[in-house]
Amino acid sequence: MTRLAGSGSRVMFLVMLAVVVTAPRATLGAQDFAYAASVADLDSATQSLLGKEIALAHARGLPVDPLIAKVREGRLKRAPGARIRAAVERLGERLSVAREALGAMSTAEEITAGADAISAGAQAASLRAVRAATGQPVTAAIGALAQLLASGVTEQKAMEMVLTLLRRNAVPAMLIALANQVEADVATGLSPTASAAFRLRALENQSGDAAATGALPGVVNVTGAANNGTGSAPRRKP
Amino acid sequence: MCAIGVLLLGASIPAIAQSPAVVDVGISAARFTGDNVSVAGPQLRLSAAGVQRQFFEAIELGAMGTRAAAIGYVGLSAGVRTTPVAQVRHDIAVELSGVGTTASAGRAITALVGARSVYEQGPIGGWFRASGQAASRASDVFYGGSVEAASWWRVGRKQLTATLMQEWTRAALYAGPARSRPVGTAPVQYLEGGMSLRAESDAAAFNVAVTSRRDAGASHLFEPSLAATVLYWTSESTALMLAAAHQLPDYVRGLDALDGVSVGIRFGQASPALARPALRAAMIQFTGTADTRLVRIHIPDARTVEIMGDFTNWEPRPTTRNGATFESTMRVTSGTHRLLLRIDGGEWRPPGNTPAVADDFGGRVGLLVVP
Repeated sequence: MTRLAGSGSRVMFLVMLAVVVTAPRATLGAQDFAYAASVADLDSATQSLLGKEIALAHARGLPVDPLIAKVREGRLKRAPGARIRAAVERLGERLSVAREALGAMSTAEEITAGADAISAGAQAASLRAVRAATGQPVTAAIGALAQLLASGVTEQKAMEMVLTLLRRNAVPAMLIALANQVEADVATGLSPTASAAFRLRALENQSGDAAATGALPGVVNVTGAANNGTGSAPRRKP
Repeated sequence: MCAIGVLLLGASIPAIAQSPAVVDVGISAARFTGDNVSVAGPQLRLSAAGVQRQFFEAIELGAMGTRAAAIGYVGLSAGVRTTPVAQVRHDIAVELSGVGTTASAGRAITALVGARSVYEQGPIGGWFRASGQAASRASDVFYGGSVEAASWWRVGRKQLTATLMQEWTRAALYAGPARSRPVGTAPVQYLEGGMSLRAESDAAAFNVAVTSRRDAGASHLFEPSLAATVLYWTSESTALMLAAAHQLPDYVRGLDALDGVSVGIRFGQASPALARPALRAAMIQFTGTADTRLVRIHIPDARTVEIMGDFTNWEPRPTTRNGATFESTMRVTSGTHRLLLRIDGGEWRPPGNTPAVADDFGGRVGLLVVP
């Protein structure tokens, strides 16, 4: 009797797992193939748990592309299955927090940027503040926030910089260029605090129209993410 | 002393785990010329260095010898450097070192503080350094200082360095055949000039340094020293090593004069072919629209550049060389992206012009925002 009960429980578990894993994934379309390719050489238990995690994220309305990319990244970096699972879970949590902070109507790009900002040290309150500051899409603003934090700028100072530009109706390229210029300053040896203070002062001293038209002082190469580090980095005064 | 070295080895690694450690394992033979004592046996050495924005730190420790006669040493240093202004930067560093040996009496612990100004203009540079130290010996503490000037000249993959140094300190005087009986102390002051040459190919590196010391208190007014090391890489991070030295006494750090030779294997040091591109920062730029985004990676002297990121589903993509720029066209949507570059088949690294964030797997990736 005991042996039969045990076998029955096991069969039930496998059936439930198959339903949980396969049913939501059937709606993923092209992502399904990417996921299948990513986990092909993982053990079946890890595959099931990853599938469940991704299906759960999909059901909650979270973008699953970043999760699939994380699995693929882990495979390429030869991470063990448990570590990939933990990484996907952490990313899922970040995406969830970002979506909650940015609102249910957020785009996948905004949520992904939010998760990257959280990864760089942003609090959910900062994401909410960025969302509240503009009626425009906030992908670039939050991406810039993520870059500023990753460059070592404090969250308070990074938020000041981003909100100042948003208040001046800056175009996305301006927000990104500002973050790139701070990274270039830091790469040349300037402290993140000093760079942020300089850039913020420059923003506060310019007219509101300038940010919208692209005339951001001290910021070069605003057409993309490039910055060769040889721009107008400020120098310390002894 | 061997045991002390090994214990320190185990205790110190986590502090600098973010930088790659270099481990030498081999066999050494040394003759301490001041004591007429010879030591031969296995040698273990670990060194690592890290740089985090303005801060830098380094550790070096090791041990060699047998239970009968051995030497162990440890050195820790850390410092801060300024932003270069007009090709000049300054740094201040503190160093703590300890040496213990069964070949002479006592052990030496030295604390040193130094300030250095470095000038670098293309392949030519130089520095001036001043330092002061407190050195603990058997029952005394000696204070001293040194000034040093140096210049270097790089030609292709060779570097020639010239140094001139003046040091002041004190030394303990010992009597007896094994210098086991302390009899007092004496001031030490010497002037030392030296030349060193470093040359490398993709799979080998050669270092040689010669100095001449003028020391009125030594047995000879002028004494030479020589150190040479040859490394030959058998894989990307493993090299066969041969080193020989005729070393003068280091009164500041407490290292005895010795003649020595060692052969072994060095683990963890990237071959010159791999290390060379790692020293250069690749600058990445995206232009165009989401469907046909042109990726440009600017890095002079590179032979190949590969790129991968979430937008390639983490599959490495080759690029096409166009002068000093490598290009590829791919689909990259607006938003935040994570990416890595590989130069000349080396390690995957974040680009030089993007901030890096944790990748959830213990590494770092570049964080890019595309408008």
